[in-house]
Amino acid sequence: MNRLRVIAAIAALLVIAGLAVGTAPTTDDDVVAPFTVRGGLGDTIETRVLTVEALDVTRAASLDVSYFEGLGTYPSQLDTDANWIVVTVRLTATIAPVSLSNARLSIGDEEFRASEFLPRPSINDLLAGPGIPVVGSLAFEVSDAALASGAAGSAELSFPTQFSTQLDEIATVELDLSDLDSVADYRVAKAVIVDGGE
Amino acid sequence: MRAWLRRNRVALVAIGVFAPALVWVLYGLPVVNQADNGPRIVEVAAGDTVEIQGYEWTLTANIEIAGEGIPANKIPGGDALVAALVEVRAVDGTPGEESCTATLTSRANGVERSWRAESLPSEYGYGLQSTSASYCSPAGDDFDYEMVFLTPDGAYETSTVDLVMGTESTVYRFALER
Repeated sequence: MNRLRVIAAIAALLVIAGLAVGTAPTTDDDVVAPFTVRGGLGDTIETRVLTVEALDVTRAASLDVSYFEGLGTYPSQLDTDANWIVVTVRLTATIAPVSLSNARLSIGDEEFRASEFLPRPSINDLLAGPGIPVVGSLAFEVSDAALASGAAGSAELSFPTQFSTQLDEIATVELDLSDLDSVADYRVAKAVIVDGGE
Repeated sequence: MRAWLRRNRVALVAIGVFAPALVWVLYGLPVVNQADNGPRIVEVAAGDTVEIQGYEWTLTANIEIAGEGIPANKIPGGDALVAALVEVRAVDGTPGEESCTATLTSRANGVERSWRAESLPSEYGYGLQSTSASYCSPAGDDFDYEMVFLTPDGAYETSTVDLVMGTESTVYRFALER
């Protein structure tokens, strides 16, 4: 009887060990992969360092950026041979000001970086302190092919806040870009600090 | 048992000595090194004066202005404007000319968060005193350094004004008068 118990225990251990080995991450990338916190348009997405709410998404052929406030001159119009996808977001840093330089729009396997051509004060320049919400726009120059692909219905706008995202949380907004009507000229508003701090 | 202990006493003593030493080297030493590498904090009580680089620095006034919304008083609702005035007086000798950076730092609930001094406080309807400077750039003379910070409501209660001179690692932490 005792021998049977020992055999059963060993068998059980082998099964558990087999499960552990079988389900273990196969690469180091899996072990240190970031945690994605998802939401849709209008949802409040909270991560360790950032709270994100995507308020609006627009497709345009040209951007009116006449809000420019700075020294010198800047073109009031930004044109493209492709499409502008402009996402208006409300962002609040939670611990320290964050950089949006790694924000990207993913459509299938294609990734688009946020344009650096929006003049000051854009949301990239408005380094508000923690707990202070800022509303502004991110613009992405996206090809016709990407918007016509099946993946456009499940595009993702993500906000990695640092170059290395290992084990970090990344806010990701799921967007449907497949049915957006294109407007000829979209007036982009300058980034502003808004009411509603924590 | 006693015989076993006698036979192995050298090994046991060695384990008793080297095991704690190994734990110290692996875990204790890094913590101590990290603590040594942190900035040196000089606490300055409310109203006290500290001498830094040939100047006497005294935080003489501070105020919190609650945000009523941008249309009402130009300060976003849910936020507050915190202003602090530091009198800087040159003392005998050769005062330095190194600029400083100021942050308002709160430590609520064990989380440290900082806000930089605003470069254009007039955007929030705040007017500096005519004798004050909004930047910290000692030039050998007396001056009043007036800092303004935009923070969320409530940060003021747990905050200090932290000054760092140039690239120094010392933080001069001024308590606010409440």
